[in-house]
Amino acid sequence: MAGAHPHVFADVTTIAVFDNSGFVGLKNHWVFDEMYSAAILASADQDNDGKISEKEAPSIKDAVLGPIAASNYYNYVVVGTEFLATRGVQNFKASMKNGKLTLDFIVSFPIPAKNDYTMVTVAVSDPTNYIQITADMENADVEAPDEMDVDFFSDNLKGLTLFRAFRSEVQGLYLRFKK
Amino acid sequence: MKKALVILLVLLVAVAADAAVKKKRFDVGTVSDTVTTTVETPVVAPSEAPKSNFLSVISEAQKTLREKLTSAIAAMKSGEWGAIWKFLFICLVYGMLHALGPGHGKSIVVGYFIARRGRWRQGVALGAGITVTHTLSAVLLLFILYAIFKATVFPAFETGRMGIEKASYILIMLTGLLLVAIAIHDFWKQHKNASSAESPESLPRTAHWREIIGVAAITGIVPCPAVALIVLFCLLNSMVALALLGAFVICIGMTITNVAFGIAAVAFRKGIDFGGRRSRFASIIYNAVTLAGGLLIFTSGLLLFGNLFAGRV
Repeated sequence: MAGAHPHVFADVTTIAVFDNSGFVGLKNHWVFDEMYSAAILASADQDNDGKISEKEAPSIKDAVLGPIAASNYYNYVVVGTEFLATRGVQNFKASMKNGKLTLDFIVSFPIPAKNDYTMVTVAVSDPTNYIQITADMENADVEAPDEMDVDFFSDNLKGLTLFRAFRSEVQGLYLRFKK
Repeated sequence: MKKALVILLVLLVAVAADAAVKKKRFDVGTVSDTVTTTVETPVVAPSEAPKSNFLSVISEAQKTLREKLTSAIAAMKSGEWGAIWKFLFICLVYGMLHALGPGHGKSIVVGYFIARRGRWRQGVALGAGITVTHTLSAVLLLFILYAIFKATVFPAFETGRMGIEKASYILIMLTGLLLVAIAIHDFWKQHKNASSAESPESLPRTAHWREIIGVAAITGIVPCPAVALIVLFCLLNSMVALALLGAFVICIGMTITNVAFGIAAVAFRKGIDFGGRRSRFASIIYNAVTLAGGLLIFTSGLLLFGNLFAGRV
């Protein structure tokens, strides 16, 4: 329905992060369009130096991620037949690069590893398309300790009932992991 | 045995090809040799290219246009005022494409003129009224908040927009319900008078300017964030006149799109009325169409409202 109504544009890359106990969450790297970046920077740049200091980062986080917290920061993680609710955002960093607001953060979805494979499907997309997220899943990566056995590939989400509200070109990251 | 192995391999390759993916591998470690072979067999089944539909194409186009707008504004900032024509042209096209997206009143315009017999100029007026309100409310809200918050205005603007959006969508649903109720009421009245001779009153209801202004107001009142962002970007670069000029031209672009839908809807209803005129079932046709128009508006409001909560987990 809302396929063509973007007001904000973001290029996103992701890394699936694991530790010894299992899946930790998704590292998100978001680069926003210059217009939105300028608007958000202006709202937080107290010293007016065009950069985001450590003191200014929290208000950037509130302005950008606050309104989308209820939507899981547009990180959708499916295990079995359900979307997981996130435990929140960690390691938030914000910077300006070439006039573009760049955010790095981990959206945590702890899933313990078992002796058998756990299948996980991941997508980063705004189903309302207020933010047009272009997530490059082809170049998504995995960070995991050697003890964790992880396979992954990217493909479109067509045919997955849970993702039917998403635009057809949205790519998903398919993962399976075990101890 | 050898044959069986070949069949097995073919099967595995077929399964892998069916998945049609580029399989990347992390930590092969514990996996047995057979499986490794299948996975690393260069399965050249091309990864199915995601189909891009019409809406995705115009979304992508808007992304490109926004980048061009940004660079045009930057060029003017550095004194190259020749870029203004490029800027204005992009604003116009951006507006036209932007209004093709949901939430700009196309289905409301169409629904209304299916529910009501309208004149051409009423079709134009409703289409334009919605986009002018949509733009003006964005510019006004932004300027008012800018006076208070200065450069830090944008989060406040977004909060305001989200509130107005909810109210607007609820009012759109109510408008749809009202049109449906009127259609049912008319139908009921005619049914009761069915014994008496067919009265000329069974002609479909006509559009009223009062209604048109109301529909334009409740639909258009949602401030357009696309306009707001462009206006704010100009303001942050201390180009107030350019901000207003840009908003004006985007508004013209959006109006072109919406008016096209308005004219099409008026024509559609005229066609139905013309076709149904001589029919024995004229009044039933009129009522059914009116009902459909009302339902279309209600559904649009419902979808827009529902979309506010899409993606909640």
